[in-house]
Amino acid sequence: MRISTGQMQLQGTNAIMDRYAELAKTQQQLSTGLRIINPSDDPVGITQIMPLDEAISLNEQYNKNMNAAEARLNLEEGSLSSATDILQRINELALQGNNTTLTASARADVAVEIRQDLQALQSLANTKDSNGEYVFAGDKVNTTPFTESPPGTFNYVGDSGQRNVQIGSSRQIAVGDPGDDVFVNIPFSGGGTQNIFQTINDFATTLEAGGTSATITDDLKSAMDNLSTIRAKVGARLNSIDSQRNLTQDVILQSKSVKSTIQDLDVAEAVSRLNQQTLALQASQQAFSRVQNLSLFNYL
Amino acid sequence: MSIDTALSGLLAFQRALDTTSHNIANVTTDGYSRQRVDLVSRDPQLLGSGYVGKGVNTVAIERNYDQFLVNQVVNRTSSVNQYQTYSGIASQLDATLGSTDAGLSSVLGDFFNAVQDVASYPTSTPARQVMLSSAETLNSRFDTINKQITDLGNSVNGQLSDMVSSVNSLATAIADINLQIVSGYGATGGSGAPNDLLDQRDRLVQQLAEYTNVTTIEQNDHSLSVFVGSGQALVLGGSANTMAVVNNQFDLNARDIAFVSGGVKTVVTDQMTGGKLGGLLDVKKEVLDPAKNNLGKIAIGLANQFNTQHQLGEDLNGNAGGLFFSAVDTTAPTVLPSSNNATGSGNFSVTIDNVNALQASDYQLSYDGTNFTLLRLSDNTVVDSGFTTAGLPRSVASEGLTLSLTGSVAAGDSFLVRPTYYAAGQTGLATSDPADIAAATPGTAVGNNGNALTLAALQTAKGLDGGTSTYNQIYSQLVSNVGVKTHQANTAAKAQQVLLNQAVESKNAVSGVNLDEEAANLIKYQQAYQAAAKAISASQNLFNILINAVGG
Repeated sequence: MRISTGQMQLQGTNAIMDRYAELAKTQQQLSTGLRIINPSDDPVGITQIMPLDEAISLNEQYNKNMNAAEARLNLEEGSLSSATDILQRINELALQGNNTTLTASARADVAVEIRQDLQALQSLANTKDSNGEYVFAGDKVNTTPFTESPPGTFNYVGDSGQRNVQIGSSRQIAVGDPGDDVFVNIPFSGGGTQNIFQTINDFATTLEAGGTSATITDDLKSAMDNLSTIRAKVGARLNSIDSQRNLTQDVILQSKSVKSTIQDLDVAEAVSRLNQQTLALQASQQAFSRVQNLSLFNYL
Repeated sequence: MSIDTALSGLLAFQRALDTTSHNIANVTTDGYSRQRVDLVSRDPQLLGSGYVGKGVNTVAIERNYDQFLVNQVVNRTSSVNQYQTYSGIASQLDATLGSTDAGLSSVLGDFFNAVQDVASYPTSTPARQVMLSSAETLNSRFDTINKQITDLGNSVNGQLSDMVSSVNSLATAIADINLQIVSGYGATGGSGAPNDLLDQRDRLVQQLAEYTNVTTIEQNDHSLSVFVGSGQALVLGGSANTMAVVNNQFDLNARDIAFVSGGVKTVVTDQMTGGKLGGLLDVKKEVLDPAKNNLGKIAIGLANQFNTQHQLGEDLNGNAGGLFFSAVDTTAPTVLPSSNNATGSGNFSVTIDNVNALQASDYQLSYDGTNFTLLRLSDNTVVDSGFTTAGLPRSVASEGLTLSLTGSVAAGDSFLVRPTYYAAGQTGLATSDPADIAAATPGTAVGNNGNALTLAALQTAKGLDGGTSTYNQIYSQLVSNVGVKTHQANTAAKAQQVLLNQAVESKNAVSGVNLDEEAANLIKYQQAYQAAAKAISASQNLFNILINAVGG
C-alpha cells in the first residue's frame, strides 16, 4: 500500500492520542479507586449497584431505629426492675403491718413508709425518656399518665397506644408498653382489675386506721407477676433487636462486599495496565520521532 | 535533428517539475490530491525510412483521486461527528445522574430515613425539622437535575443555530465553487480539470458532512448537487438553498430545523440524520426528553402518594393531615396547542387520575374534524382514538389521564400533552411547620407514629408502573438507560473513528503526497530536463556545423 507523508504523520499522532486517552482512563480509575466512575462505564453494573446502595442506606436506618428502640426498652426495663424492687419492699412492709401483735401506732409508722414507697413507685410510672416523653403514657406521651386527684384517688390518664418502630424490611417492634397494661390492668382479689397505686394507697389508709388487710399480699403478688410478664416481653424484644441487628449488619456487609466487587477497581490489574500503557505511549512517541526523521531530501 | 522535439521535452519536464513542486508545496494541505502530468509521445512523422518521433505532449494534469474513497470519508465523517456530539451531551447527564453527590438516589433515601426517624421520635421537633429539610433537599435535587437537563437542551438549541448557519455558509461556498469549476472546465473546452478547485469542493462537502448526512451527484457540467435530509436540494449548480432553525410548533423552548426553498419553510427535523445536527437532535429525543419525563414521573408519583397518605394521618396539633408536598401532580401536567391550530381554537387540560398507570411520555392529540387520536410519543403508539367532542372530558385509563377541552377545536388542530415533563422543576413543600407533619393515626394521641410508619413504607412500596416499581427503581432505570445510550454512543464513536481512519488511509494511499516519491520525481524530471536542454544545445551545434560548412 502506498503511504503518503501526511498519512504517516496522522497515524503517528492518532496512535499517540489513543494511548493518551487510555492512560487518562486508567489514571482516573486509579485516582478514584473505582472501576465504574460513570454509569456509561458499565450500565449493567450500575443497575446492580443502585439497589445495593438503597439496601445499605435502608439497613443503616434500621440500625438507627434499633438503637432508638433499644434505648427506650432499656429505660423501660430499668424502670420496671426498680418498680419490682419497690413492690417487694412494700410487700415486706405489708407482712409487717399485717402482723397482729403490732400496735396501732406501729402500724401507722409502717403506713408512713408505705406511702413513701408509693410515691417512689408513682414517680417511676411517670418516667420520661431523653426526649421528654412519658414512657408509660401510651400515645399521650406529653401527659403525666399517673395522677392522684382528688387526694386518695389514683387515675391513669394515658391511653393504650403502643409505639412500633421498623427494624427490618417487614419487621416492626414495640418500643414500650402503655401504663394501663403495666400498673392498672392487674387482676384484683375483689374481682375485676386494680390500679396498684390505689390498692397500695387503700392499704396504707387501712393501716393508719389500725386495721389489716387479708388480700394485700395477693394483690401485690398479682402486680409483681404482671411486671415480670411485661419484663419478659421487654427482654424478648431486646433479644429480637440483637438478632435482627446481626441480620442487618450481615446485609450491610454483604451488600458492601458485592458492591465493591462490581464497582471497585482491581488495583493490581490497573497498575500493570498503567505500566503497559505508559510503555506503549513511549514506544509510539519514539516510533513517531524516528520515522519523522526519515526523508530522501536528507540525501539530496 | 529537430529543435522542436527537444523543446517539447523541455516544456513537458518543466510542467512535470512544476507539478512536483506543487505537490511538495501542498504536502500538508487538507484535502489536497497529488497531481501528475500525463505525457504522451507525439504522433510520428512518416519519412522515407519510416516514422520519426516528434517529441512529447502534455495531455493533461490530473489529480490522483477515487470518488468511492472520497464518498466513504464523507459518510464516515458524518457518523463520527454524530456519535461524538451525542456522546458529548449524553455523558454530561450520565455523570450527574450516577453521582452519589449529584444524583437523586441518595437524597431520596435520606428523605425516607428522616421519615423513619420521625416514626421513632414522633413528638421530637428536631426529628420533624430534619424531615422537612431533607424533603427540601430532595426537592431542590429534583430541580437541579431538571435544570441541568433544561440547560443541556438550551445548549442543544444554541448549537443547532450555530451549526445551521455553518451549513448555510458551506452551501453558499459549494455553489460558488461550482460556478468556478464549470467555467474552469469551460476555459479548456471541457478537457482540463481545475484540480485544485475540485479538491477544495470535496473538502467543503466533507466539512458539510460534519454537520449532516449528505448525498452528492456530479452533473454533466461538472457542478455538484448536494442533498440533505430526505432529498432536500441544498445546492443545485451555482445556487444554494438555506436551512433555518424555527420554533417547535408546540414548545417555544424547542427548536426544529427547516429547509427554506423559494421562501417556503418546510420542517425537516425528523429527516435530518447523521453529523453533529443529527447527533444533537437524537440526543435531545432519546436522552434529554425521556430523562425529564422520567424524573417528572418520580416527582409526581412521590408527591401524589405521599400527600394521599399524609392526608390520612393526624398532625401534632390533632388536626387531620394536610398536603406535605406541593401538589405537583395537579399543577405540572400541561397541554401545549400547536401554533398551526385554527385561530379561535381552545386548549386542552390534562389531569392525572392514576399515578400507578402514569407513563414517562409526551402525547400528541390530533383532531381530524370528527375524531381525536392520542399518540404516545415515547413509542409512537396510538393509545386512544375514535372519540369525539361529545366524548369529552375523555378518561384514558391505560395512561392514567383525563383530557378536558376548554373552548372549541377545528379540524387539523393538534396538541402536545405533557403530563410529566415539567413536574421535576415544580416540586415544593406545602408546609414549613414541623407540627404539620401527620405522623399519627387519626384518633390517637401525639405519641402515635402509625402514619409515619406507613409513610416510610412508601419508599419500598411498588406503587408505580402498574405496581411494579418503586421510586428508586424508576430512577435506577433512568440512570441505566442514560448510561446505556452514552455507552453505545461512545462505542459507536470509537468504532466510526476507526472506520474513518481506515477510509482516510485508503484515500491517502491514492491521493496523499509522499515526499520521498516527490524527491525521486524531482531527480527524475530534473535529469530529464537537463537532458532535453542538452538535446537543444546539440541541435544548435548541428545547426552551427551546417551553417559553418555552407558559409565556409
